[in-house]
Amino acid sequence: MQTVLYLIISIVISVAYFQFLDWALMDMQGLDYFYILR
Amino acid sequence: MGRLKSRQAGKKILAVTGLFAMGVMLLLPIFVALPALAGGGAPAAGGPPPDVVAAEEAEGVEGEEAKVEIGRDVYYKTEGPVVGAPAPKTADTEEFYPRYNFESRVLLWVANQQHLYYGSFVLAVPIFCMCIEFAGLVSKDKAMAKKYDQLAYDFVKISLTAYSLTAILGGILIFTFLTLYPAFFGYLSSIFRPVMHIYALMFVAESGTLYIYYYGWDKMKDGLLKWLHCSMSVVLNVIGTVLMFLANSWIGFMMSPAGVDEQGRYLGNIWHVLHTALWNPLNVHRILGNMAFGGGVVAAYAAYRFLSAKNDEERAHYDWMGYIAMSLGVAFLIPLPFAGYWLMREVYAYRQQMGITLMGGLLAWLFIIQATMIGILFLTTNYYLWQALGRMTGGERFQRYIKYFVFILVVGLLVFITPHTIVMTPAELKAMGGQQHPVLGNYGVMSAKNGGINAIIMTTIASFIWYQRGNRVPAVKWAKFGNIFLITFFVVAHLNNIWVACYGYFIPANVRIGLSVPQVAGTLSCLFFGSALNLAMLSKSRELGPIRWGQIAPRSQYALIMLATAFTWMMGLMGYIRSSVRLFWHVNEIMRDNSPWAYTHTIGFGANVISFNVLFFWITILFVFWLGALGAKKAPVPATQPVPGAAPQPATGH
Repeated sequence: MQTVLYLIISIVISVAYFQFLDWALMDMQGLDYFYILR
Repeated sequence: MGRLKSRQAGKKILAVTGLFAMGVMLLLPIFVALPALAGGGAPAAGGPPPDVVAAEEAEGVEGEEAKVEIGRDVYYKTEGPVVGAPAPKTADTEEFYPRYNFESRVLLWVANQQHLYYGSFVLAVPIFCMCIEFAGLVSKDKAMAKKYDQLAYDFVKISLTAYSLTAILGGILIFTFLTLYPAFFGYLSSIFRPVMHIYALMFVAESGTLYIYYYGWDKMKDGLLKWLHCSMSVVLNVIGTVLMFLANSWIGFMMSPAGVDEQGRYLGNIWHVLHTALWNPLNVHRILGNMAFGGGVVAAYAAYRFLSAKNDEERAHYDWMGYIAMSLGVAFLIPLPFAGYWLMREVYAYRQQMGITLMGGLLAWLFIIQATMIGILFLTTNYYLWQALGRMTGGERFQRYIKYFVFILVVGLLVFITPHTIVMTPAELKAMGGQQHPVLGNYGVMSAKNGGINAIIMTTIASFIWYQRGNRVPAVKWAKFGNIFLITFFVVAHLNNIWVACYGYFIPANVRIGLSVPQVAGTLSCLFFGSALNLAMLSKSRELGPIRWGQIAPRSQYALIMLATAFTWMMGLMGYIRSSVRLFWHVNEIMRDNSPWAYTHTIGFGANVISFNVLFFWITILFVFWLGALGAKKAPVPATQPVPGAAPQPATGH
């Protein structure tokens, strides 16, 4: 149970971090990361 | 007793004073040069010589107010007084291009490349020396401190002989320029006249510092003098780096000239001439490249000494040396592709056509070869690290996962080397209906290729983390969470990398180009965060057994030699690409190359010359290694001590 909890926390933090990184760095260049959704 | 002490103190004061005076003298060229640089350099660079001025005065120009022509900087778009002669307009004659019965460009290519190889080596090795000597200085373990000190000494010993060869090759290079390309070299010297003498003086300063550094090793082995000795390596490296930056400014000027008008006339501001569009990206790329190359060559030296070692003690020492040199080299190899991205971005920003020639046109296939070489470098590094796990108790825990790493590396490499366009004959081109292949043309997009190399780099970082854990198990309280988080972080980083690589296929090129930045950032996150987290976890750890230095399969040493050879080949290749991109210009858009050799060679011919350069370098460096071994100090570690095992703490901190 503890392992699953640790895994969920790790996945949430890692996915959030990388998605934020992708969006922020594209935004800094004046580019739209969510271009495909527009 | 008291007299002895005061005599010793007197000697120390004398030594410190002497060193200080010497340091000031060695740095004097920099201080002398500062006012000239601050003032924009000597005003008369390229201007008329005194006898011409005297003749003009005699003709009655005297008394009239001299007209100052104003020119416009081709890059900075600022205005300045024209103080130099225009770039010579050359023709295919003996006057401008004296020649032997051989292609002058190839002669210059070989001379240049050899000088660069040795120059890179002697710039990189003192930086390693500085780091290792410092590690020895601050080490609390006396046996370790001695080992580090011996290692730093071994490094500088090799670079000393190489330094002499660098100077000789530099002389050969200048003579080759003067003999075969006098008009071009004359023009370049006239533009860089304000800093040419600084370069020469810096060279003298570096020689002086290097000789004192080397020959003063034993005399300055204790206390304050040892710190001064280590500080001298800092001075040495500052001088070396400035030297390299100055040399880079010449190639920066040739590729992206600045500080001159459209006729190539110098406008009196030397800073503009130095600080061209590509100077800083070139500086960063070259310093990282030199470090990686230097690490590779020293690792090859250690491998050579390991393979020819007569006893376990020597084998242990050179195994350790090879590992440290390889780690340092790879530490600089990892950020190297990112510096390459920056350089390419700046090339595109400077002249889009130049970028297209490089990455999508005439020279694009050389980049495919480069990608293959980069893949080889990383595959070899991983292979060495997996072999090195064999000398650790507990390393076998990781063996069963190697196959998955191999899978990622191979897939990453295949994606990375996929071409976007194909080399074709005109008939094939016509049959296919264009440059783009109906199927292959959809692949080889830059974001996907970046995904390939980033997957390779992240896997290499993971291999390093494995290696750090080879004989250790984290014992911090949060070890379980740390392990799960570290693995998840790497897995998500890989998935994100794949996602971004595929996403590039669904968005237009102008948006896609920006994806390289988050891709790089993701990999760097793994490097910095992953390594930091791992080190934090290992700060309190349980050791499973010692590292058995010297007990490593000989094939690992061949991997080190392979690594160094691949570095050398790739450096030769990239130098050729960078130089070829000017096409038929000596100085891009300013001075045209009208020699019979102003064309781009075939890939095969280029590869043959690069291979010749690599072979020539390795034959001569073997001579340097042999010289180093001739005067080798015996017993790096006292024979009574066991083969170093648990104690060594190389760069990556395992």
